[in-house]
Amino acid sequence: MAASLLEIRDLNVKFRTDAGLVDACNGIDLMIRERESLCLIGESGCGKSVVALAILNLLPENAIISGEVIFKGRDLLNLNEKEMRGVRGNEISMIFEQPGTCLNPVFPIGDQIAEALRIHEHLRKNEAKEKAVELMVHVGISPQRYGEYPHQFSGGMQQRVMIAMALAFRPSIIVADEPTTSLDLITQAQILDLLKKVSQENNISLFLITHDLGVVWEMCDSLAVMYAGEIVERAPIYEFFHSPMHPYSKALLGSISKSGFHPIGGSVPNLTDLLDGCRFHPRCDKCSDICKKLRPKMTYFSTRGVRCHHYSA
Amino acid sequence: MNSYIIKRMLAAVPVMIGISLLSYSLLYISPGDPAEILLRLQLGTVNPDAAAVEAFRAEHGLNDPIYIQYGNWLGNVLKGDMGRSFRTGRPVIEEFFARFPLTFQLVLIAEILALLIAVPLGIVSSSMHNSVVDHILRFFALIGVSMPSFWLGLLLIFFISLHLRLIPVLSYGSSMSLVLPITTLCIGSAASIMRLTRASMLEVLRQNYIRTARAKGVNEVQVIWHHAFRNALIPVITIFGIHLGHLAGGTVIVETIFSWPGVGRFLVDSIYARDFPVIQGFVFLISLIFLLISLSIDIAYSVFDPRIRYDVPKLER
Repeated sequence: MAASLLEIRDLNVKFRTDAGLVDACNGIDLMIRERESLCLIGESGCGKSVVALAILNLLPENAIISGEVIFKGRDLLNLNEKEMRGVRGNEISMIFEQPGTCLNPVFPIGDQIAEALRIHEHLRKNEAKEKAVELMVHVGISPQRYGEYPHQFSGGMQQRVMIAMALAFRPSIIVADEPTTSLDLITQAQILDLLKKVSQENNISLFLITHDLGVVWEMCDSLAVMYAGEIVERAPIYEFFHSPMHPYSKALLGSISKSGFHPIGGSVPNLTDLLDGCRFHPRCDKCSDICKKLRPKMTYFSTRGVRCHHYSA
Repeated sequence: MNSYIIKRMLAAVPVMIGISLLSYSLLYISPGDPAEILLRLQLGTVNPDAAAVEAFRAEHGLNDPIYIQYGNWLGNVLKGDMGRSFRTGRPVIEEFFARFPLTFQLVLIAEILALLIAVPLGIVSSSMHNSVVDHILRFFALIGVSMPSFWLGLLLIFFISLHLRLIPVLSYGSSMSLVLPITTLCIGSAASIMRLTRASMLEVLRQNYIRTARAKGVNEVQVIWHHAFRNALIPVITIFGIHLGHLAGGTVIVETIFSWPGVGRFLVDSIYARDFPVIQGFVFLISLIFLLISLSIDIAYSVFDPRIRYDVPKLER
């Protein structure tokens, strides 16, 4: 088993808002090994992206973060701004959803790729340009498009630009936050293939955030299921699809069309005003008295873990 | 690009006709007979001779129906003739271009100064969002936009000229004479440009591409001055253009306070005297300049924002 590369321990993020304190994520424990790809899955608004942004300390000012994010032996949450910049893009790269809004509209895409190279490797303009062109070819963009602007690209092409940018420095991890959400199915498949290819070729770990179970199956070695700001289940990919444990995981798998398309009743709880007990209990068909009163702890088995009273000894 | 400019120029034609029609009808329905008012001014009598009034009307075609008068005027304009001022007897175009440089120099210097002061301050203010510096800058900007120019002008005269005796009140002709009117115009503009720059920067700094830049490891100074600045500048250019165009004809108050012999003051005097050809001609020329400025601002956009590319079809490969 490869060594752990990034470890998130007891990460809590709260946001101060006018509506009160929003408990965006709570006691998150995750681990990514070298060359592994881990997937974080959950419904919209469950706090997936918050986890991703917290890793690189890119959360807005109103966020209150506690916990540890250990990367290669250093706690990223304790780094100062300058040290953090050395990590961003250089050792951990990020790809976001809606690539169209993530590229600066007033600069040519080639320059935006080259910029990352110039910051971290202190390359001269020409060298950076040459290397940016190489990266463009690597992700399947014609080098002639170096001087074009983001609005001249389709969504899929824009995401390729983002991937080229993420690869600029052979990072050890790429954090991809819903990289294919706004793309059509064929483009999705192409982008996922590309991500998989580049991460395997360059020995990069992948931390993929998605709400799409199909993507998980295609891309990942293991996964973590997130619900209302908590990890409710962690498992290797095959075990998860073969025998999901948490009632929410079961419901999720039941909601995909192949197994008959049974939507989960109710909706995600309001994060400003969380209920006592298990956060899933109002929607859970196995809900018992203890579920309404006591918040379950993570119960670990040999390769997996689950946060549910029905599994605790 | 060229065909875009031509299209814009053509579109300006109906606008200009509309503007001239409106100003013509306004004159027609406003009370007061230009013949009487002018003769009263020229002769210094309270009741000018009826025969003289009639002669004046006949001479200047004021007895014709309004549409005939308008038609004649428009026909002459197309030939490059805007008529002569009733008051001075000199061609309207001459009167305009004798004064326009004076007004424009005032406005241009004031606006450029405002831009140079306000944009950096706006950026500082936004990058230190909600800090003490931000609050202080916003406080002064609020005062700047709230203060009417006539009041500000009078205050400046009072303190700088009368109290401190730094600059004489009426000093037209020396370069010192520019200081007070420019300061007056500049403060108001700078305040509104600063507020807009700040708001626009704050908006841009929330965008995803700024997060991308940070995620790439770009330092904060570069994020603000390189990534955010160009995007935030677009609305600032708009307001700059509007100010410039506006002030080309709208410095009446400042020109009056500082006895500045510019376009605005002459136009107001002409309105009092019902000097029809001057009013018509000046309004027409000022609108034309306004349209030209807004056209050049539109062209400037395409330099700053590649998404605005006139007449270039979207490339998809």
